[in-house]
Amino acid sequence: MAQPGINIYTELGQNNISQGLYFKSAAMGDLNFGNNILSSGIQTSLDKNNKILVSGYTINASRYLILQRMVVELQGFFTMTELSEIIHTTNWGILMKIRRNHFEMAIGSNFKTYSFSEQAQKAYNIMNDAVSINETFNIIYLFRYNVKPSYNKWNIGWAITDIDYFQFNQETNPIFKLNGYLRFSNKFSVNADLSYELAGFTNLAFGYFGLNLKTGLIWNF
Amino acid sequence: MEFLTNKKIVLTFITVLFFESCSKDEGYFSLNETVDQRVEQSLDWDSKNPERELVINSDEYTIFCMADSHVGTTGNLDRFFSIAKESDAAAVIMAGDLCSGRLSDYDVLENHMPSGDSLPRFMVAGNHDLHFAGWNEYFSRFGSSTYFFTVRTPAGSDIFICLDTSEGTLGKIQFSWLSNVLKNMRQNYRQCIVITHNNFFRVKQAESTSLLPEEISALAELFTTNRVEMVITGHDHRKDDRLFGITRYIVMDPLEDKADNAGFFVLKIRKGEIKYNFGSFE
Repeated sequence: MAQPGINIYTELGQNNISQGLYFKSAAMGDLNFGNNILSSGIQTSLDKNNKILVSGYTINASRYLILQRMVVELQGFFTMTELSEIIHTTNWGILMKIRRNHFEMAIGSNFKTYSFSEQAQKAYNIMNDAVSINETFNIIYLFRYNVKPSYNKWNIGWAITDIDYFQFNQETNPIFKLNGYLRFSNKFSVNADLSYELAGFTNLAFGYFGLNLKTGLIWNF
Repeated sequence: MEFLTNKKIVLTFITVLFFESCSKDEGYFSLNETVDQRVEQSLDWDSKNPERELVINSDEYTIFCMADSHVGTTGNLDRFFSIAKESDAAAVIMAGDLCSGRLSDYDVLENHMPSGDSLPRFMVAGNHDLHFAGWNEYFSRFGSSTYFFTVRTPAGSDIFICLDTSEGTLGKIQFSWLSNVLKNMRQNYRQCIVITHNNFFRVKQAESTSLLPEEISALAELFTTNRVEMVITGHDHRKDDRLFGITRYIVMDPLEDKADNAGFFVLKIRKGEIKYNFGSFE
């Protein structure tokens, strides 16, 4: 029997291009059936200056496999994110995840496309061959360490990654995270993560780009 | 036991790296200022010096552009200046990673630069120019890395905006400055060209990094809405030329002596329109 779940979070952050603080909220729904998970979500930007209602959506499909006596999650994903009023990015790719008691690791590849909206194409007379730019075979990764084993009712940990719910950085622009959760029951937990983004990391001349805090809840029905 | 030994080695390496990066000594990782601090210094310099304008008595002019000379050695740099002078260039643009950041390499670079009278030059810093606390050397010798200059011809004037992306981001102050310059000045000029070191799009695999996707999108929007015709960058060491929206994004080959693909970029204004070609030493 399929088991549904919902993950809702709010994000408060600031970065070098934001005009003050930005505020986003997202809801993700998932459906577990057997060894498979289907999930989908939308993100909305709640800034007062923002004219975009839905700033992102994502669709993911996962299957759990046993490889070398290890449980491996294989995920395919598609995400669209409105990064500005006239430009959006799409990211699609695959991700392989492994979870151990204290560790979570993921590696995969994504294809990113920056595109102008149809409205912008008309407004600025953009030629067909200049509408989008593709970045292919980007490496995506996650390495997370949690202080307590994964079955514990609470946890704190840290992670280095270039991916987030609706965000895919280049592999050379990692995000550093502090995260934690508190599980009230098998069905209900709250979580938080603090993300710190550096620019120019692999140029070895790097500086602050942004900081954000996400707090959310997960409810499995 | 072996695990613990390995862990100790890794921890020691990370600790050394951390303290080295925080050090005020002139080590490789020594960056003594943030991008916002550098931009403040640059804008202060701009306010104390006259606006830079080239006056050309012809409707046509040519500017030679280069990046990534990584001095040390100066074979290609000397040849580049020589070709630019022979071609009667109005100016040269030097888009970062001009040297290693070492004091001795700044000395070599400065000694090989033509005088401003014989060949006007417009420079921005790159990430390598900051190493070994190199920004102090850059700033004291060459001045601002965030500014604009204009080229006035009888038929019209063009604006060139030079940005500091040596840290992989414009930072808050420079982003705001750029927005204001484009908003308040762009309409007064015929062509608008942006010069900076860091390339924008990661269209080829490389260990060096480009700007973050959010910043790329914000800048591409700014360039589109303000009709920026061209963005000239280096950093990636492999030339690239693509149109995104109404803005052409150029990545130049490196000028450094050891590069097999050493080259430069020639920007020509003809009848008010941009023409260009990539140049090499072959």
